[in-house]
Amino acid sequence: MYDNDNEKTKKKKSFNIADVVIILLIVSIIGYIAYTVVSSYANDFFEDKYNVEYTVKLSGVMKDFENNIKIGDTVTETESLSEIGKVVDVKTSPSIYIGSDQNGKTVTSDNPLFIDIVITVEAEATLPDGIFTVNGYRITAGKDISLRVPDFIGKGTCTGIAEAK
Amino acid sequence: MKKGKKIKLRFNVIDFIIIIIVVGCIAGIVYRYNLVDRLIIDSKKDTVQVHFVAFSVSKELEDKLSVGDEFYLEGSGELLGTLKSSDSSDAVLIVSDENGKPVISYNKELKDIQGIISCSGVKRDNGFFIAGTKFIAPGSELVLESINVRISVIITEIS
Repeated sequence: MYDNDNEKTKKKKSFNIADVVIILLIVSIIGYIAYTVVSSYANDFFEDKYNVEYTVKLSGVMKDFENNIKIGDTVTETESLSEIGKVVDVKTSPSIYIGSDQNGKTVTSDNPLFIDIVITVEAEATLPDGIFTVNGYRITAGKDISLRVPDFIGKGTCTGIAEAK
Repeated sequence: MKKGKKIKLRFNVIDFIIIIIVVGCIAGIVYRYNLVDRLIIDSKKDTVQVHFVAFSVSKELEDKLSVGDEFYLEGSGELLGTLKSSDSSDAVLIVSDENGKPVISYNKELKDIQGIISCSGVKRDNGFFIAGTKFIAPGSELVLESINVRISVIITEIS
């Protein structure tokens, strides 16, 4: 025989310190992941915007690709998949070939098979930490950039970045 | 005999906060990595001709490229396509003349191979994607594997 009060008694769920610790741990982990993933975009949202132009030099490119990068192409960085601007100028020139004559003297000439391509890219950037940042991707002179456009993929080095006039 | 007690799940503020954070993280990851574009495999596939060149290939390997062979991307194992044609020539190299100027010469012990692979994928405004997700373009350096050979190539054209 059971006491009716027992049946009706609700089992009270107690919230203890272990629950608090677990919840704080979960919230911290999720919060850290969220911060890492989206913080660059949050920075972009709150930061001032700058119109910048930067140049990228792709050295030793096969001559076959001389016309593959076009003005107006959207540039995408291949590892982060960030869109990092639009091409506004393309310049090509023969790569330098360094040889030596029979006296051992260094001679520089045009390479008959390879070219250097310098592209100028325009983009909207922010300036967190003093480095221009386009869509979360930091760009500064000397930085190696793996980039792609619709009809070409290659690696180059940023040779300069400044606010567009 | 005790009747089974009905356990009532109570939904509180902490549960709500955790759900909001998790949904926000997932949405951020999807947006950050353009996962929607990358995961959608368009139903309409395009067949293109992928032109490639392989530089300084040994003669033994040259013989192992057979028209009709299927070529896969090393690593991911994704199918690139079927070899439609291949042609070879003595490997090109640049040497210096007596004045230090570059002269095009040829290495008869090695071959440069030009070929065409018929490939199925998706053409979008931002380029061509194998299986809808892997971007390839002129300049792509790939290592390909077939049943007979493994070879490093550079894509020169997609038409």
